[in-house]
Amino acid sequence: MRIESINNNLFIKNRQIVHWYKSKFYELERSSDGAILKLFYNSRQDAIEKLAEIGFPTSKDEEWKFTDISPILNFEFLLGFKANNVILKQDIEFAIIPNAVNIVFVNGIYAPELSNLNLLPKGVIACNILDSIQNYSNLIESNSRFFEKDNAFVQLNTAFWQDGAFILVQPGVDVEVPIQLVFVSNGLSYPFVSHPRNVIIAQDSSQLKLIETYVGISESYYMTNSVTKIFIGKESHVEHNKIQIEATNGFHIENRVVRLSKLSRYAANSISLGSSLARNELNINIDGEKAKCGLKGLTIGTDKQVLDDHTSIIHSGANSTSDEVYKFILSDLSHGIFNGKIVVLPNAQRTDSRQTNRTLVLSDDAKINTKPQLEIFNDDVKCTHGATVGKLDDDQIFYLRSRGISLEEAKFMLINSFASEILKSISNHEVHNFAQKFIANKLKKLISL
Amino acid sequence: MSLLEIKNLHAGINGNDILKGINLEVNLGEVHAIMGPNGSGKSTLAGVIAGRNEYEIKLGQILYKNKDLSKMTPEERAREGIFLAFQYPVEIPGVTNLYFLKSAFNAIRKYRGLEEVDTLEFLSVVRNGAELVGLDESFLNRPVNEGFSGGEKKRNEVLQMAILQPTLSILDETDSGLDIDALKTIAEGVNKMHSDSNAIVIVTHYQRLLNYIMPDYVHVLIDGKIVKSGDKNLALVLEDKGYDWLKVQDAK
Repeated sequence: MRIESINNNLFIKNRQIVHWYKSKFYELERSSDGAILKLFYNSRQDAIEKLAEIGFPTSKDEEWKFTDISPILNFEFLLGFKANNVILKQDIEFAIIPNAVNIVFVNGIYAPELSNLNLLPKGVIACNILDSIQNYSNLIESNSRFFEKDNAFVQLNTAFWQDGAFILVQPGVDVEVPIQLVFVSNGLSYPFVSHPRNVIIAQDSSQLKLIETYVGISESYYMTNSVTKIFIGKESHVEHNKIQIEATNGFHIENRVVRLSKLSRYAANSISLGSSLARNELNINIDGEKAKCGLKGLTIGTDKQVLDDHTSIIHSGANSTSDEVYKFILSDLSHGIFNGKIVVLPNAQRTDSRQTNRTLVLSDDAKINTKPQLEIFNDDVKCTHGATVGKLDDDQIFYLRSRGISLEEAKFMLINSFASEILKSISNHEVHNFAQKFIANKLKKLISL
Repeated sequence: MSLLEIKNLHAGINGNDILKGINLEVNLGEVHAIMGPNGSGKSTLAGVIAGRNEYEIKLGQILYKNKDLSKMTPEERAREGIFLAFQYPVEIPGVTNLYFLKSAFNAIRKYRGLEEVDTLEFLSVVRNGAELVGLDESFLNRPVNEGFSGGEKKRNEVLQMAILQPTLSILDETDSGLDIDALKTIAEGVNKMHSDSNAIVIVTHYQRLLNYIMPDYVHVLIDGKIVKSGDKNLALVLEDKGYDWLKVQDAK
């Protein structure tokens, strides 16, 4: 269902697709599948109207300067919920972390038969939003709304979302077992989209290890457009590992909003390996005093992948800390984009913020656009940032080869060591091994080992 | 058949001629010393043998076990038993020494048709070697050469030699940056490894190391050519008179 438009004008394409989504929204509302839209209908309608007004971003938009989303606008993505999903457990076994709680969604819809909640301890609710909406309607609505910005993909998600994960950790509860959210895109005969909507709440003095995994086992083109809201209560600690291994015919868009309360900690590791075009947008709001945020990212590009990591950290609590390290490994014709915004507001005295972006470029045609963006409205702060771009070191390669190690193995060792810093911050052994497996596979493909 | 046979070797880098007709023959059981002033081409010769690809061979031949070395990759040379102890060992942050040493050890074992060893088995191999060169075990978990002192880096080179058990070892300025105790330890280690089934080529500026590792032959390399060869006594003459008298002789 590619738009066969003679006029290639991007603007017209943009308007067309926006209006197509809008018409689909009202069509769905009238159809028998439209019951879901009754849930938060007003915000959905506001969102689709807002989308119609603002359109999708173009390269003229400063935040999208280097990321051309026109491939996404070429498709009329339908919701994938009508699929007769015959996915068996073994089909997605590769994406499941053992000894964890696994909550599986297929094309945006909760799949209880593929999920495993056996290890879920007391004091934590972990399920899908639809099943928890009755009991936690207020919590979900207030946390779902706490941040809406003029982002077309957030509007699209807000209008169309079908389901997502809901996790509520009660005060003082330390959830030892990792909770994994698995989002599977399963093949249909037409281009389809899922809009996962996740709400994660760690109440005061609690601890949570959260993993998000995105996979595609689809032949047709698809898009995942997720929105995740995370609230971290006082003195709570959330470790959040995301492993994006979408199929090559998938587009991946993520919008994440995190709020940190006083003395809380948020440690996120973002591993971006799959899809032809991925945009991870992380908006971290450090509201509380003495809160700490660590953001790490590892993005590995091959072929013509476009992989964009956009982060924003807003310090509004005093004595707060942020430490950000994003690494890119780019080969073939791949294109990496890093945008790291740090805002220190007037009240955030004694903020300590560090940001590093390091890129290893392995081919002449791969490229990186990196942009640190510091907005500091306070004198009493310590902020550093730096970006480096380099190649593999010939002397190091020769040294390894001179000891009998093959050229490919030598490259693997060096690239893997570059990548390993990010893996080191994953505390759980099973999660670490899980992430490492996908990283090693991608690296082996990259150097044709 | 000699182990290494270099015939009229001309080689250089970026269009500059550095080696201008080297002839050298090394047999099993022998220790050769190649001495010469700075810039005479000693390290180039070592690099060409180990397979540094920035050097270009323009003329001549290097035969190792009767095979043309120029057709072999650096790793093939290593697997065939050539070992270069680097003048400036390379730092590799992020790769632990243990992982590096084990990978090298197993790569060579695999090539020789032997079974690869696991970490536990390898630890006993590496411990023996570490003791031989006087390295503390804690260095195994540190990144390769990163933060090592000059002496530790050189000990690490000789440790690799002990582990990989090469047939032809080239020690490039292994004595530089070592204090006298470290020099003795390393020399003792090398002497223990030396046997009738291998050969050692020591590339050095000073004769100091040769007090501890006795060479069978000493060659003087000046301006890309071996201008004089002799036995270990030649090294003593060089220590006494320097290299200038040979440069003059060469000019005549």
